[in-house]
Amino acid sequence: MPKVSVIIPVWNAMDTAPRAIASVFAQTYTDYEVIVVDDGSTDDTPAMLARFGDRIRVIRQSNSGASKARNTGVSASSGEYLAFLDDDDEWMPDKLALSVPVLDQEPECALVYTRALKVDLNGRQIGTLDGQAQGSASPTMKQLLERPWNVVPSQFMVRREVFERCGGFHERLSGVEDRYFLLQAREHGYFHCVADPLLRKTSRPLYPTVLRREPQYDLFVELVRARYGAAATGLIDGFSRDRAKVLKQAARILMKEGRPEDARRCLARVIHYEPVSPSAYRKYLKTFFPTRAPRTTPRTGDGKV
Amino acid sequence: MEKSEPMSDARDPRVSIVIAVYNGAPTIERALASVFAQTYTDYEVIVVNDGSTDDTAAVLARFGDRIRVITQSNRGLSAARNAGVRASTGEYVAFLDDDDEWMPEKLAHCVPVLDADRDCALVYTLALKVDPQGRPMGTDARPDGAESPTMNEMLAHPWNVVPSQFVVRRDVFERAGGFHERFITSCEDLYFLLSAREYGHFRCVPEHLVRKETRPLYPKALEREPECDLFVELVRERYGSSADGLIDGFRRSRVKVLRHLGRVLVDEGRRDDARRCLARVLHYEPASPRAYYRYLKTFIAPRAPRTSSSDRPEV
Repeated sequence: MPKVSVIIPVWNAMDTAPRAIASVFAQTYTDYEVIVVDDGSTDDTPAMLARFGDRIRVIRQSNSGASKARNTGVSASSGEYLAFLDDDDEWMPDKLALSVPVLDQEPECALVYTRALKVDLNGRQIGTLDGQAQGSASPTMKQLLERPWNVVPSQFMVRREVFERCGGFHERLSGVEDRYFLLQAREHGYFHCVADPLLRKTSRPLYPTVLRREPQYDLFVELVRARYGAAATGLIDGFSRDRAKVLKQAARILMKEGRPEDARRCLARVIHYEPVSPSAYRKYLKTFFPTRAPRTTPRTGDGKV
Repeated sequence: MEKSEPMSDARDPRVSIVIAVYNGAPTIERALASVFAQTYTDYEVIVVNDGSTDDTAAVLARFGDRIRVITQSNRGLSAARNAGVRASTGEYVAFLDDDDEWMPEKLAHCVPVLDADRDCALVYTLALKVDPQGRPMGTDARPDGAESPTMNEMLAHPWNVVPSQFVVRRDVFERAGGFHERFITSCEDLYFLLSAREYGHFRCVPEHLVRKETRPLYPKALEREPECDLFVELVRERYGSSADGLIDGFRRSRVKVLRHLGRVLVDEGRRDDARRCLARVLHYEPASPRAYYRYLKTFIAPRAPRTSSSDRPEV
């Protein structure tokens, strides 16, 4: 039985997944199995996966989102530790080698994560993901409920036992499943940070994903409130503020690109978060009077979605 | 040790993979990962760091003892690959450029061809050109002409596959004298293939098992012109008039590239750069009025510069 199960959900990723999967085989730590869950791809992803022969195990499901795909992958796996990798991310070769010993040596540690670099679609580094995990490298439960704190699944490795006690990733929370999972996981042990950037995370254009995920964000707030009550007020407020900020940023980019209708959709959502903010209304109304000429080359937001 | 262990130190690996890298920190990790993703696993990996001045050494260090690193002062691609081959032991030698990637069955499909056909000197696969996001550009890097060219055919027309595409027998590589070390960045593959063809035939695995990242053509295409001259000189020396077809075709293909580049640079409003390319076209076509016309036009160029450079050609 391998020590680590690497779970990779893929969806229509024939150009990027080979790099993600190869980054696993490049690991200096080699006691792992690779489970790839094809989440109902409609392109040539199955043929691409077949190229890896018996070095990976492929499970197919109809399209039901990354949470379900990861949970399916975990059910089919057997490793003591679970590591996740998204289909357009890449690990550096010592990701597992530096993560495994932490869980080996610290039985009270539920989850170990590494730092991450943010790269654009061309693979150029455009920043880090450190901003999402500000405050403490190893937050207490109280800190997690006071303000938003996040690391993405490609960054972390968790004990199977902890994963199962959490019930895996919430399957209706696509796009915010990691945040909810981290809260639950923290109930079963502390987090340890490996301070090296050992993941390259590809940033995608903000729009339209940013808007499409709003229902899941509402559900997230609802679930957090139900589970943690008033203790999570800080987290919920901060999360809503962050949402408004990202939507404003997306709207700003869309206006520059000459897409006022798309910008308006984002700003309508900002008003939902900031119903008494005059500036939100002003921004919204301005989309009816786009002054600036549209740019010729479309530029897309490079923020993290 | 259990029987299921794939390799013991007692036996040499069958394939030596030689990767020359010069300032390849942003790409070398992907290239190496594509090696470790191979379904065929009886190989060793030799990386020759050819005097990189960026973070290449640090990136390589992350791979620990999974790769052997040779560090040398910058001597060029040919010399770096030759040093890698000298340090290796495999019966077959495969090359990978630091910005290319193999598909997982690359070795699995090449090795049996050399195993089964003793007279085959070199086996190659097709390659797919991809953009920096890994998306295929829709253009094959397929050699013009025969899949398995005769020596006569190779001397009649330019025929080329890049080193990331091929696996060659060590004894053929050695008898051919390796890559000619006067070539620093280009043309070494063209010249090597001619020498290798003297020792056996080539076979093609007709699948796209290499992903080759495209790069801007300028200024590289112009910088390699001295090596193109060297190539012509060496070919003429070795093969005499029997290589006239190859040399003519090679020069025509250079003209085509440089002319195209000149046109695109003019469109981008980079008239000085365009002029450098078109001056080189004059070198190849000293009696062509159109070549002079194009060259002179770069001094006038009334067209407004384009804002987008999206249609820039790639190598």
